[in-house]
Amino acid sequence: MRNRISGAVSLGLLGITLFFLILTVGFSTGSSADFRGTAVSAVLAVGGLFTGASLVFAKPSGNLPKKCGFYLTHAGIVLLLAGFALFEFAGDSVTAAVPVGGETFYSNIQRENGEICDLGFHFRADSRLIEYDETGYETQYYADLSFADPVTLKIDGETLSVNHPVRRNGWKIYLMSFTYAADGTPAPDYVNLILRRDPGEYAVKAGVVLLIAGTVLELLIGNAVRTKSTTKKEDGHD
Amino acid sequence: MTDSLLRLLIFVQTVCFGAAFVLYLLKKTRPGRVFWLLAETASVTLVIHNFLVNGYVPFVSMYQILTFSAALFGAVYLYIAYFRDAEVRKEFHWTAPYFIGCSLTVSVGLCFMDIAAVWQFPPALRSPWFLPHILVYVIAYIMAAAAFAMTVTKFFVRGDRLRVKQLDGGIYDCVCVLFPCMTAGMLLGAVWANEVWGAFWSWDIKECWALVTWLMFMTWLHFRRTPGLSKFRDLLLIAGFVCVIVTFFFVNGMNAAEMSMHTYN
Repeated sequence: MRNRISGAVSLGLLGITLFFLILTVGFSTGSSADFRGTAVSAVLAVGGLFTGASLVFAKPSGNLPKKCGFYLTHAGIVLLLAGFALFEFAGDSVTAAVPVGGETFYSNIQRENGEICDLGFHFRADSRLIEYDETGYETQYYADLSFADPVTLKIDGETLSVNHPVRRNGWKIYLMSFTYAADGTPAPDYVNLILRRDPGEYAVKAGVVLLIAGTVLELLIGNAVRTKSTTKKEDGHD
Repeated sequence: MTDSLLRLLIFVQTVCFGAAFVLYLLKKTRPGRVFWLLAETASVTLVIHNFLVNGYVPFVSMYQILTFSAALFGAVYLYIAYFRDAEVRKEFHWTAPYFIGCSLTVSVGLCFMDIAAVWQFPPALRSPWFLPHILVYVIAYIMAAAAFAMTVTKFFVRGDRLRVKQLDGGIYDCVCVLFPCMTAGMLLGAVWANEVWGAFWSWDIKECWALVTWLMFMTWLHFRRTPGLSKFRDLLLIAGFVCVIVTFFFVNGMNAAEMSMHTYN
C-alpha cells in the first residue's frame, strides 16, 4: 500500500513537471502560454493538496534531521502555495505613472481596463533623482513621495528607490522607472510605480524559510550525519 | 594583470586540470593531486583578480561566473570528501575525476571566452540578495554537472553492479548538495523579486525554466525512493541537467526573453 502511494505521488509529480515543461517549451518557442489560467491554478492546487496530505499521512524514515526536514519541506510548499492563493483571491496590484512635481494628491488609480482602484491613501511624486557611477552608468533611481492624511491634512514624505519599496496602508509601492518629457514641452516627467497589496506575503516568506530549512535538514544535514547502519542499505545511501 | 597574462593563466589552469584528470583516470592520484592543486591555485588567482577588478563579487559576466565555477568544483568536492562523516568521506574520494573533468570542461570553454566583457549593473541588480542568489545557484549547477557526468558513466558500466551502486551513491551525494542550493537559489530570487519588481513570481521565461529544473530534481528525489520507478531516475537527472543548461546559457537568447524581467541590456 505504501509503495502504491509513493508511486502515485512520484507519478503525479512527474505529471506536474511535464505539464510545466510543455508550457515552458511552448512559451520559449513563441507560442502563447497562459501561466495565470485555470489549468495552472488547478495543477498548483492539486499539488498543494497532495503535499498537505503527505504531511498528515506520510511516515518519513531516517534520522531526526531527515524526519524534521521532511515535515518542514512539505509544510513550506503548502504555505508558499497558500500565500500565492491568498494574493490571487484577496490581493491587488496596479501600475501607476505619476507626474513629478505636481500639486495634486492621488488616491484613485485607473487600471488598464478602465476600472478605478481606490488605494485608501493620498500621495504625489515631488521629485526624482538618478544616481550615476563614474562611468556615467545609472546605478540607482530615487523618487520623493508625499503622503497626505485627508482628515488631519498632515503631509509626510518618504524616499522610494529601486529594491527599497515603501509600505503604506497595506500597500507596497515599488519604483520601476521614469518616463521623461520631450525637451521643450511643458509636460512633466513621470514616475512609474507598481502598487501591490498582498495579504499572502508573510505566508510566502514563512514558506520560503521552511522550505529552505527543510531541504537543508533533510538532504544536507540528514545525509551528513548518517550512520554506518544506514550506509549498509540497498544503495548505500538514505 | 594584462589580458595576455590572464589568457596564459587560463591556459595553464586548463593544462593542469587536464593533466590531473588523466592522472586520476590512470589511478595515479598523488601526482594528480599536485596538478589539481596547481589548477585550483590558478583558478583562485583568476577569481581574486576578477574580484579586485570589480571591487565587488566576481559575477559580472559569464566569463567571471564560469571562472568561479571552475574553482568551486574543487571546493565543493573538498567539502563532501573531507568535512563530512567518515563513511561519506570513504565513499566519495573516487568521485574526484568527475569534479576535475567538469572543471576541465569549464576551463576549456574559458579559453575561448571574451574575458574583457562585463555586464552593466542596473539599479535592480544592486541588492544584497544578488550574492546569495547567484552563489547558491552556481553551487547547485556545478553539482548538477558532476551528477550528470556520473549518470552518463552509469550507462557505460551497466554490467558492473558494484560500480553502478557506487555511482548511485555519488549521484545521491551530489543531489543532496544540489537540491537545497537550487531551492534556496530559486526562493531567495523570489524574495528578491518581491522587493524589486513587486511580485514573488512573474512567470518570466527564466523563472519558468528554473521552476521546471527544480521540479525535475524534486521528481528525481521522489523516484529514487519509489520501488519500480527508481530505474527511470537517470533519465530525469539527464533531463534536469539539460534544463540547467537551458536556464543558464540559452534562456536569454529566446524570443520570450525580450519580455523577460531578467534581461537587462
